[in-house]
This record gives sequence, structure tokens and C-alpha cells, in this order.
Amino acid sequence: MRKVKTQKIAILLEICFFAVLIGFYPFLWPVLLFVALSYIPAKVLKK
Amino acid sequence: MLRSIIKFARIRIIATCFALVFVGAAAAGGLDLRVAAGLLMMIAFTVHANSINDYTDREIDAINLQNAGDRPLVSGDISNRQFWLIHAGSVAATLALSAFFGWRGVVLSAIVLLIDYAYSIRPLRITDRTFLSPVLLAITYTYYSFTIGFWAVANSPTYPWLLTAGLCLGFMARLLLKDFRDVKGDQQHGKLTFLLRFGPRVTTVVSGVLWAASMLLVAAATSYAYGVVLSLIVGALLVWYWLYKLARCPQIREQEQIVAVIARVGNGAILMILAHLLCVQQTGLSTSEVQLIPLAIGIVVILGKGLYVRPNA
Repeated sequence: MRKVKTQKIAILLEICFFAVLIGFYPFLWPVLLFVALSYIPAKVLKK
Repeated sequence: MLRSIIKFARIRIIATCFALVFVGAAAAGGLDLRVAAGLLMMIAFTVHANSINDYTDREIDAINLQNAGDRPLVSGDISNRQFWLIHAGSVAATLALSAFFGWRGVVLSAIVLLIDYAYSIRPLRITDRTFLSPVLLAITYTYYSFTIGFWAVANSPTYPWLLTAGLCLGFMARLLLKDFRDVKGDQQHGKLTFLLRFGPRVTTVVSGVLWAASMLLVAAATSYAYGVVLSLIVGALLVWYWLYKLARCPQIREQEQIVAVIARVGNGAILMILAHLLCVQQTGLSTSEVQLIPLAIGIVVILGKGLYVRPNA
């Protein structure tokens, strides 16, 4: 349970980091696109 | 049928191909509208490669991937006729989109489509060959995606062979690990993969060496930018740690999770390289920004995705 919570916090922090980064450096949008694709959970892809 | 096309496309593979197209375009000096055609091409190409491979491997997959929802031929989601319609459509779409890149784009795509058949169909059936299989697969996916991105940009500079070679080696290191989950079916069908021939320890050691070689080439290709080098070192340490664990892990489920972590570290490294190339060509950035932005992205993505295994990976 605690492990899952830690993972959720890590993902949230990562999203915040990229949101701030893209705000300052919009030319990095391809990086954000790739990060967004990586957030699609495995179980959704296998449905 | 659309759902089956998406399943043949394998979003994770497409995401990596997309990233490589962007890396190629960024290495050529910028993003062009033709990059969009390149991205669509990657979808068509991936559907082609996976559909023919799934078709020829359907009996092995029925053993290895009984409960995998992303194998429409195993789950019986599509008819034979629908399958061939999807497959033929992927050929047509790949070749038609290649026209955006001129004759060299069409020729390269035709070669890659032929390699897809040689990889899966007898008499060549490269997928069964211990050494050629990971080498050819890595070169095809990496070189094709990267080059299409590179060609998408008008007046592109000299082709960056060093960077392409580094990316190919990294992909090879990853592909050596893909057979961990398939051991049972591969054994039953006499498919002598690198893993079955040499065992988990040798496979993980070779993968680790390839990762190191890839790191050195990419570092050289980016003129040893410290942001890139530091991120690569962090990534390599993590990968070697997980490879060590993988070599000693007897459970297939755990092996799958570890391989997924290593793949995420690899993808993180590609992202960091992309960020580096985008920063280098951007005017108005200070020297320290050019170094620190890729470093920050590299550390966040590589550490964020490579420190722990995800139970649902």
C-alpha cells in the first residue's frame, strides 16, 4: 500500500516538474509528448 | 477491428519509435511538418512488423502469452480476412507515407518491409537465429525511425553515424532481454534465442556490455556534454544493478517487471538525448542551460522510472 502511494507521489512530482519545465522552455514539447505516452498504464494497453 | 490495429501497433514500441523520429529530426537541426508524416509512418510500419510476426508466432504466443490481451490472433478478436486486410493496409500506408521523403524514403521503407518478412517467415526466419535476430531488429527499428526523422528536415547536415550506432547498441542491449518472458514457448518450439543458448547470466552480462558501449558512443556523439554524460552514468548504474538482479531472479513475473524497468531507463535516456539536441539548436539559451536542462530531465526520468519495479508492469 505504502509502495503504491510512494509511486503515485513520484508520478505527481514528475508531472509537476515537466509542467514547470515546458512553461519555461516550450520548445521541449516533444519530450512532454513522449512522457505523456509513457503514463498510459500497461493494463489499459492490453484491454 | 480498430482495436486490433491498436493492439498490433503496440503503443510502447510506437512511443519509442516516435521518440527516435524526434531525435533524428532534432539531430538534423529542427522539427519539420514532414515529421508528422514520419510519425504516421512509424504506426503503419509497427502494425506491419507486429502483425506478420504475431501471425507466424501465433502457436508460440498461445503458450507464452495465453492471457495477454494485446495478441488479437491468440485471443481470437479478428478473423483471418480482417487480419490480412489490416496487414495489406499497413504495407500500403507505409509506402504511401514514404513518398513524403522522396525515392530514398520509399526504397528504405521497402527494404524494411522486406526485412519484416525475412524476420518472421521461413526459410530465413531471422527471429529463430540467436545472434542475427537482436542485431537486425535493433538496427531496423533504430536506424529506420531515426533516419526518417533526420530526412524529414530539409537541408539536413552530415548523417550522425556515431549517434545512430550508439542508439542501435542501446536498443540491442534491451532486445536481448525480451526473451525472458518467452522461455517456455521458445523451448517447446526449439527457438534458440540468445537467452536459451547462453543462459540468463551471460545474457545479462552481454546486455550490460552493450549498454556501456552505447553510452560511450552517445557521449562521444554529443561531444561529452556533461549533462548527457552524467545522466548516462546514472542510467548505466541503474541498468547494471537491475541486470544483476535479473540474472539471479527465478520468477518469470519478476523477470518481466525488471525488464520493464530497464526498458523505462532506456526510454528515459532517449528522452534526455532528445532534450539535449533540442537545447543545442535553440538560440538564446546560456551554455549552462544547454547542459543543465538535459541533466535535470535525465535525472528525473531515469531515476523516477528506474528506481523501482511497478507491480502492474
